[in-house]
Amino acid sequence: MQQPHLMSDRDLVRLYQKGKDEALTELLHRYKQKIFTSIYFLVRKRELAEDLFQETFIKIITSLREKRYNEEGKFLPWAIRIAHNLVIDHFRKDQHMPMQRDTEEYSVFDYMPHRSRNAVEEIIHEEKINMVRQLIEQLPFEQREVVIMRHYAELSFKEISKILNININTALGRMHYAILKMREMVKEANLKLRE
Amino acid sequence: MTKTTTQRSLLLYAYNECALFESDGIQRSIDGDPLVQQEFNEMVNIIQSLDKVVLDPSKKSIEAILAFARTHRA
Repeated sequence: MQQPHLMSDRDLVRLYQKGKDEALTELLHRYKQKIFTSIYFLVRKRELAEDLFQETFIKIITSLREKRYNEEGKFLPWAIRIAHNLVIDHFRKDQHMPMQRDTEEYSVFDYMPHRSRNAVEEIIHEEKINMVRQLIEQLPFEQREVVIMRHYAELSFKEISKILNININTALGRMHYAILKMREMVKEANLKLRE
Repeated sequence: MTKTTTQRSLLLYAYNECALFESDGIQRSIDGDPLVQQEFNEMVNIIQSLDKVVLDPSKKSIEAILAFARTHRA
């Protein structure tokens, strides 16, 4: 058998459906960061993001087992759509769609280590990542949603507009306003994003 | 070209999503107008920074998912 990390998503799905657990492990490790980051930026609460991340994979596993996965689609956008629906369901149940920023305290997260950097560079890099994370968190929900789908689900604006049931110009407009707002915040705080 | 069209086109160009026949025209307007060039560069700067933020789920979540997968075989 080919090494799982060299296999395509499509082959991993098929292998998992044939009962090979290592195929699911590979899919999980391949996409855990993108899916978790997407959920986190939608809910902005670590504990809730962990719960919804687990729920997302439970749905993914169940769907794959029941052969409800459409091979014509791509795995990551499909998985992020499941995550997105769970987030929306959560807010509906909670009757609280977070359109504005709340005042939650932030905790420190584990970032991917960059071993090529020295300690000082690493600190600067992490500070910048932390800063960008806070910029994203301050965007209104609808703008964050488009940013997440474009950057983490790797969806085109056309695909995003279909999923969110909005016009492509609306999707582009939301992205544009998100960039303008982030640019404004960067200027206000006199921050430098370039490495 | 209206301001809105320019911004829309710049955004699609920055994300490599604009039609091939539009690309040359957009690149020309970036090269030919310092203000458009500045707007485009700032846009790209923000876009590139967005890709740097990646968060990891906890080990506990990963273990819980794998445990679920093991106990819910077809």
